[in-house]
Amino acid sequence: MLLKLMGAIMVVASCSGFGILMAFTYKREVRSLDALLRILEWMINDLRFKMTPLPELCRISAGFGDSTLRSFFLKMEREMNKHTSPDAASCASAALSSTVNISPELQEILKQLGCSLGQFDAEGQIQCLESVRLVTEDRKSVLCKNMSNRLRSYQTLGLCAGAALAILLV
Amino acid sequence: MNCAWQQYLALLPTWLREPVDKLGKEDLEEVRLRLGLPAELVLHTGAVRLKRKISKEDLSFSINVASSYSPWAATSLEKGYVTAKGGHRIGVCGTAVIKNGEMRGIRNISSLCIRVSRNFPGISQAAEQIQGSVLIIGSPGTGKTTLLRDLIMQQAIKFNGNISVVDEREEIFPKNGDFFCFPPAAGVDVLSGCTKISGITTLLRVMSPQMIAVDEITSPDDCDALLQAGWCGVKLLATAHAANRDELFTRPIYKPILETKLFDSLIIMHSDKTWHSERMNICY
Repeated sequence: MLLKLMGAIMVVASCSGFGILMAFTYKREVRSLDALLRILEWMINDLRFKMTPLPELCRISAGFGDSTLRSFFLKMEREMNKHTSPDAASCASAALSSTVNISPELQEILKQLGCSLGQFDAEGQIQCLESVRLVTEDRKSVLCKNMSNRLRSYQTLGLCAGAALAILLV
Repeated sequence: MNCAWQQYLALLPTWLREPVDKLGKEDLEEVRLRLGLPAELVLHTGAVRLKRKISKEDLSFSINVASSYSPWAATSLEKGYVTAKGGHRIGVCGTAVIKNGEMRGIRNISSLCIRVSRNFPGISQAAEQIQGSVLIIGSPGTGKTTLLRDLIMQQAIKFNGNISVVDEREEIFPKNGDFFCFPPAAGVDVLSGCTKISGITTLLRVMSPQMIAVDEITSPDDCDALLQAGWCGVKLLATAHAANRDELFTRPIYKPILETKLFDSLIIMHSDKTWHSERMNICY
């Protein structure tokens, strides 16, 4: 009986944990998008007034980001300093392939950011960054819509699924 | 001879680095990359063509590395060149992007000319006796900038005053990050990356120079800038494109600076990179 009880508790706990993890991942993506928006804003301002070269821009951007973005931008800077990739897009895709814990949507946005970098004129470069910023804002607004309800749903669903499984199995 | 050779090799596509290092370490002048054609190495002894043809990616690679993956930051692209770390200049050809009647950049790049920047300390020793403002003339690739750099160093030591340099193309005293590849002598102040007209005006106001040096006078604006600096107690050192005295005096663009006797001496570069000096006698 005790074993069954322990098993039931473990099933409920793991399912709830999964629900919480889903909610955490969701929140982390919103945080990453927030940080990315800050970075894009900063990049656009820098391009308007200072025109800092891209490797340095990536290094400074890493300081504004969460752990995922920090790792992405630092890897991109390293890739550029190696002088082996033909363009910024290749550097971004190499950095992306070695960055972990990144959602497919954020990955898509970063890929788009990589492709937009390396324009031949500052005006065009700013416009490209603006379009990436719009995409990021759209994605963020989709995620933020009913965010608290969604988070509660993930946690509740996890708990309920755990309870249902426990009832079925025990 | 000093040369930032590794930085030069880094500008080339990876497959091209080994043959260039092998063939041209000592006497390479430039590498020419033309889309769809074999790479051409221009050596002092002649040109060598490699077998492999240049792709679009190769051209994009060189431009991206030269501009630290930031072609938009290389404002000089509007004028058709990018100066890379080590002072190596890449000349760019392709389709010009025109906005409001002015060239704003280059797209569809079709060829690059990647010149090696070298420093030969002491080559201007024979020019020690030359007095007053000096104009160095020569055809492209005859070593005008190299001589100018050494002349600046020599004058700085001899002069014991302030020499200000407007290094528009960042070729006279190229930088590697914050540091100079060929460090200038004490007394030399370098203002890099700005046009001659605004650079000279700024330097006159803020650096109290006794001598101002500029590279490549190529436009009426450049001549105006020099005229502005003349006769206010500042000597001038400059370079210009002309193969000989006759060509110099024939080019209308140089008329204002020659008519006004802005320069006292002329140094004429020869194709074998030797030179001789003459007094500037104006016969207008």
